[in-house]
Amino acid sequence: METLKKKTFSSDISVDNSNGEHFVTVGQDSQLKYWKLNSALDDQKTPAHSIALDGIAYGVSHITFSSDFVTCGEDISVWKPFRDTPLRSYNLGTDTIHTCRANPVEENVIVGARADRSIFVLDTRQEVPLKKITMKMRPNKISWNPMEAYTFTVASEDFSLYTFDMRYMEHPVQSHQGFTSAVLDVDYSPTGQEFVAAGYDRSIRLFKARDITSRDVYYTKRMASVLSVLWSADSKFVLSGSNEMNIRVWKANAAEKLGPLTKREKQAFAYNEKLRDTFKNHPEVRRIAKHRNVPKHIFAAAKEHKVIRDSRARRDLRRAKAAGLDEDESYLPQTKKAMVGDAE
Amino acid sequence: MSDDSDIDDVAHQRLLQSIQTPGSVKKTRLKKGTKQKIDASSLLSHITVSRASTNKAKESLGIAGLETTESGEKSTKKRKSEAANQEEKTKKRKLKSKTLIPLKDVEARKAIEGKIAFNDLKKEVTHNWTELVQSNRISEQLIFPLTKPDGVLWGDEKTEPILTEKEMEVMKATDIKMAKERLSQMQRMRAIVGIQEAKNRYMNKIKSKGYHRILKREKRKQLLKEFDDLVTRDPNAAHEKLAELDLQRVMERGSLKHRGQNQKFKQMLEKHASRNPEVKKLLDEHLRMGRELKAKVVAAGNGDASDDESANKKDETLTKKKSIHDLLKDAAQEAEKESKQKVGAALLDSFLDDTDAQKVTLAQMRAKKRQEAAQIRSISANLAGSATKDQPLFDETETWEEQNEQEKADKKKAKKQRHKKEKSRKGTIGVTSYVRKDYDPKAEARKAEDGEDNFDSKVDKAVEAAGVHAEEKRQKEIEIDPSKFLELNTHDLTQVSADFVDKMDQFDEETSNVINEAFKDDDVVGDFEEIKEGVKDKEKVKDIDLNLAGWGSWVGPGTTEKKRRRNFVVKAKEKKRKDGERNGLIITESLTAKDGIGKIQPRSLPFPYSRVEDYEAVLKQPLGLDWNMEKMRDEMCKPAVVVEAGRAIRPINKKVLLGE
Repeated sequence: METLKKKTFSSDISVDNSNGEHFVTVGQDSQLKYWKLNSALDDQKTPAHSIALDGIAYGVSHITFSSDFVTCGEDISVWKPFRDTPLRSYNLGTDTIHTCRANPVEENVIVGARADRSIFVLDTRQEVPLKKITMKMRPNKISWNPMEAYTFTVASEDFSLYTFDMRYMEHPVQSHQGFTSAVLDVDYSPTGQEFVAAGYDRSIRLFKARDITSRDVYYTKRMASVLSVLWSADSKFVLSGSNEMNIRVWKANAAEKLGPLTKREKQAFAYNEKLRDTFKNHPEVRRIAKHRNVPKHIFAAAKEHKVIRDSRARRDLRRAKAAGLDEDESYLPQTKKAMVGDAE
Repeated sequence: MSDDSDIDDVAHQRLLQSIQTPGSVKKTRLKKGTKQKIDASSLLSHITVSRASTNKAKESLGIAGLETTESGEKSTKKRKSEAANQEEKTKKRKLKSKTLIPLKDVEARKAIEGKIAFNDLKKEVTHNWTELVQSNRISEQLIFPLTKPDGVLWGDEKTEPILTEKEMEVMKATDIKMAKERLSQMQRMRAIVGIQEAKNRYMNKIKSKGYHRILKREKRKQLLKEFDDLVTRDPNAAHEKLAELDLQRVMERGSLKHRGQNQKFKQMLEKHASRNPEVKKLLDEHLRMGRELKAKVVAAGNGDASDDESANKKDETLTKKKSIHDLLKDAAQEAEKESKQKVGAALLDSFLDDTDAQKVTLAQMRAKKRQEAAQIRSISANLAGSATKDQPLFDETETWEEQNEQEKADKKKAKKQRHKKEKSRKGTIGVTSYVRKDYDPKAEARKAEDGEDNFDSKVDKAVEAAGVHAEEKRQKEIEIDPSKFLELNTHDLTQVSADFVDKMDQFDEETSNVINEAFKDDDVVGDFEEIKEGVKDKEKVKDIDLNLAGWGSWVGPGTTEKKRRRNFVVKAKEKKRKDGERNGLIITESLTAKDGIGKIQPRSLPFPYSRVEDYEAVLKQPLGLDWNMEKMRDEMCKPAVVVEAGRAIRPINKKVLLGE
């Protein structure tokens, strides 16, 4: 890919998943480029098609089982391949739309995030945006669950990820915590069971789709802040692109043995896994299963954040008590704290 | 457009009015223009795109029919003229400016449209996906790529050949698998029947008496069980059954089947009775006698024993009751013998017995005394001072009553104190205080009769004999740790009802003494403290001694063996006990959740479970090959998610799933 765009920084890329022959890139040069995939392996200098845009496009995403795609920037545009003008454009206001993702199951639904910290839902059959909600901190990236048509997860600037149910957007259904810095990217496993998130704190975390805490954390000594992550299509690997110009391939399940397994190996692994699962609620088993060595800066930051969180909780409780509320009344879960005002 | 439409009705009316009232001054009133209200209906009417949801919304607001019904009967001239006016206005506006509707309205319209569209989308998505998503979430195993509902893998759909009914029948008939299955089933059935037959045959042949006895017992048990069931289900039937059972038993016993069945008897018969008819007779007689005797002895023995016991008990209680009472009484009587006066003894008696009747006798005694004293006074005038002192004493009725009350109050207090303190002092104090109390009348007596030192000294002696002894005992027992006795906090009553006082009087002090006597040797509190010390010792965190032979012995000069050892001892942290210094309380701390096995056991019920039993059952289920067949193991240990390396998993395909 580096050979394709030597000169300009490309901000997003999307592969046509209906026939798998083309992919689209958008970048800082205000160009939308349409490339052939099979010839990308050769030294391809020029794209198959290129369109000059009015402004910079920050994101591109293919509509599922179709060659059409959506770009976002100043507005949202739906494109057909090899056409110089978009099919439709949605003007959502003056704020820049920095990310958008088409639903992998429901082909008409698009969700995106804007610079005013809002997340919107769009239906390409309609002329107006359907729903807009605003978070307290900026949503950086969004990823749909490929197995659940109405679930998507947002990587937020406030060190957490939030999973939303598209139908009930007033507040997220779950928050995912553990990062010690902003979360820059998120991608679901194709099985929809897990997702991977990239952190500015130089780590990658793997979450179970409905768990608060991460299942695993990946880091290496020389890896800088991770800008993007991707889960491989066979769900066995995770890819990360980080600020020090490296792409890394990680195993999605670190302890898994790669390559063909004998029957007895398979059985043994399944048995061990089942044992771990059965006794996962025993304190000592849980302690061992959860324990991860993390770099010093993450460890220290996590500790500090805990202190801050606790003190804030105490403060809130004190204020609530002063206002005449009791503990239960005043309690707000993290999922509700992350939102601003009412949804539109 | 009709001609009338040109005439403005309101203006026309006004004109007519001005004509009718010629003198009136024309007033031009400035009126505030009414604000145009924007309601949902006006906004919705702007939406020209016909969509199911917008149509529904319009219908609910009642604007849907407007366009169509307007031309009907309701169309008056007025409305028509209004419509015409509006048309003209809009035309003018179009010409003048490009902004037809205020931006605010556009935004509001967009918002409404968006809301409606969102609800549509929500419904659609919920309808299409909820079921699948939920089932996937709770399924035990997901194998990717997911299968379609009809069981065909996505991506490699194969069309199966369509068969006619006849073909299906042939297929069924020629199915080897099914035939084999049926054969094996029949074989199994035959084998089961054969085994059962063989078993029955074998059982019938068994002659063992023990076996039959066991069998019979089991049958009886079974029968009883059935009978119990029957009682709960159908009492009438149970009655009949019971009668039947009884009858059976009577028949059985009546058959004389069980007579003389034991081995020893048989042997004797074989040896002697068979030869000698006289011996046989004797044996029979013995047997009968034995039975009779046995029956009698059981009945009589029971009665005797109970009688004896009750008699003994009575005796014991009597002796117990009297023991202390007698002691004092004897002393008093001894004194009485030597004294001429019986007054003192009677007094003492009256107080000892402490009954109303005796109080009356006491009063009589006093009257006597008074008479005597008066005589003495008349004879010797030097006793005037004492007479004045005595005066209140001789008021037979009133003063006695007063005193009585006072004494009652005293007693009340004393009793309370006695209850808390003197239980442990084995009743001795009870006696002394008692004696001290009736010291007052004694003093009166002394004052009344100067010459009778004899009697007083005797009484004193008697009292002292009891009192000093008690004092000594008390001294002894006070030396014992006071913390080993129960403390009772009591408050003095300010007012007590009269009948309560009466009752208190009736309470026999001696019974309390008896109780004290009975539990003299039981040191409950002390025992409890001992137990507590034991628990404390047991639960005390001990130092960990890490000394190993040979380790650390090379540290050189200056270190003694003791110092060296100390280096390897990890001192235990002092732990504050929960029961601490509180008396009469032990809180065991070794069995808290954090210690022992609780450390590695889950402390709360994890999420999907609602009952502890369920969770325990899951944990108890053995998983390994040591307890399960391989197939079972594989079934139980199947992974939650199965993916094939290198095979891309695509998102759920809506078209395939919904058959579009």
